[in-house]
Amino acid sequence: MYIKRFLIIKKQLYLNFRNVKGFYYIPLVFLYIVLPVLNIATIRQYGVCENAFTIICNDIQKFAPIMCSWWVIFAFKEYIEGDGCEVLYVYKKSIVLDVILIYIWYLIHITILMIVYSFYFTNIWLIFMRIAIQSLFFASGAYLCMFLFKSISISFMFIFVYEIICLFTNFGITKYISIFHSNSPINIRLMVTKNIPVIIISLFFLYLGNRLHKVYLK
Amino acid sequence: MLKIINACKQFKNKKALDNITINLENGVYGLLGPNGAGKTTLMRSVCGLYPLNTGKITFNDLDIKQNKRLNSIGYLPQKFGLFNELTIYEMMEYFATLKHIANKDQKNDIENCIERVNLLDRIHDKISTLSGGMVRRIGIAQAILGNPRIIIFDEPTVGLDPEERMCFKNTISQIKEDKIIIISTHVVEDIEASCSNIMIMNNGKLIVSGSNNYISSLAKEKVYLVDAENEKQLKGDFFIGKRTSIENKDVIRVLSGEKQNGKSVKPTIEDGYICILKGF
Repeated sequence: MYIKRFLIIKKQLYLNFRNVKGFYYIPLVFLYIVLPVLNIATIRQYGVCENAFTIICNDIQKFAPIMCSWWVIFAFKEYIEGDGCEVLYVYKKSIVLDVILIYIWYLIHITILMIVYSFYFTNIWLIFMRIAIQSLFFASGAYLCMFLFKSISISFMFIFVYEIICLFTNFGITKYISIFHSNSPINIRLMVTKNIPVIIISLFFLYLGNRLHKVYLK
Repeated sequence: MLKIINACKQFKNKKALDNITINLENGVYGLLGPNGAGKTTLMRSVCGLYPLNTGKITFNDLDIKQNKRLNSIGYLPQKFGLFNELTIYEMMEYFATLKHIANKDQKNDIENCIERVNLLDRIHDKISTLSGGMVRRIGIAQAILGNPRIIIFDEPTVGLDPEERMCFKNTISQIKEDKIIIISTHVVEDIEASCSNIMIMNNGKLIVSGSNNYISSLAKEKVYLVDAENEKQLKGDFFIGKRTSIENKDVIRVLSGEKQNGKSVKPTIEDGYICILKGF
């Protein structure tokens, strides 16, 4: 029963991604080309040291989590902007499982990247956990935004602006809304206090997105 | 049997469905009404897309929303243009998974539906390469995929050329056994050919339902062919329909509750529909 359901969702996701053509590869280009190139440049500049590690961590959190939302948004393009999309809602009452599956698929790619990094740096699995949680936040946020704004471009712009504000501005509110970590050293305690609320908010976004999906046409 | 019982749906201040009650047995039903009459709202409610404010819709005594058989409903929306970058086969595969059609049946089912809309030779072409009429036909194919018990077509013949319209009517007559098919359209001609029953809606109300003959009989002795020259002499409330030329003489088809100075002719379904809406 569960396997059958999984296989159905997998097939639908495969077709959804086929429908977006080259847009599917954008996150992979960032993960497997842009990030490694940036990181190699950092290592060449600083060598394999703590300073380089901090810069690399910052680069990873700049690019990796947001790309998860890219996949979520483009995979469900037809559900938001397709002509006659209501016919999809007749048969599909929820896409939460699909979003979670996309998130897991994205996490597999992050894992591959982290396995490579683990040869050079210690503590990389703490970074992995951090990126995994941030990616969950972006995936669920994208899911919510899609049904809130009913537009894939506005949804991605909103998420992008959020990231820009959090990473590059220093308003008073930024420290409360940002899910990103500053340059402070990585430790489990900091991870837990910062990320448990992020997980809770992400789950809340998934719940809200699901509610909005159900009332999308009303 | 599909039962719509006291269905009411309100959008802000507008009553889109106003206490609609009807039982539909297997057959082909035409749904007529002016724009904003509530046809699409009714069809979306039957599909489970809109929850009703009051009343309920049941299929075989089970609430339509609780009906777990996903493939029991086929729906063609007014606009249809999904998955432009997929091939016809892939798009149909997507709908097959949505309708939970078993893997082993998918290929046959898909090919069968595509054949019914005469697009089998283009089954591996991308949707983006098809004409508007062809996309509409794909929409029809996805609606009949999985042999659903209820099929709802919202303006199915929009954008179809005469040959494609004929093909659609043939498809309906081939698949109509053991099914409830509801066709909403403005083209009365399509309904005349395909439907055995007609429902007419206006202002969210189901004002009349009955057989084709019954609907046309509502305009009995209310349809006249009048010389165009006598147009100014028409009495009371009237509606001017087609303007034609018979034996080099311009004549107008007039619908009116009052007797007019012209030849009374046999009414059509369209005449019946107009008489109902105009209150003749």
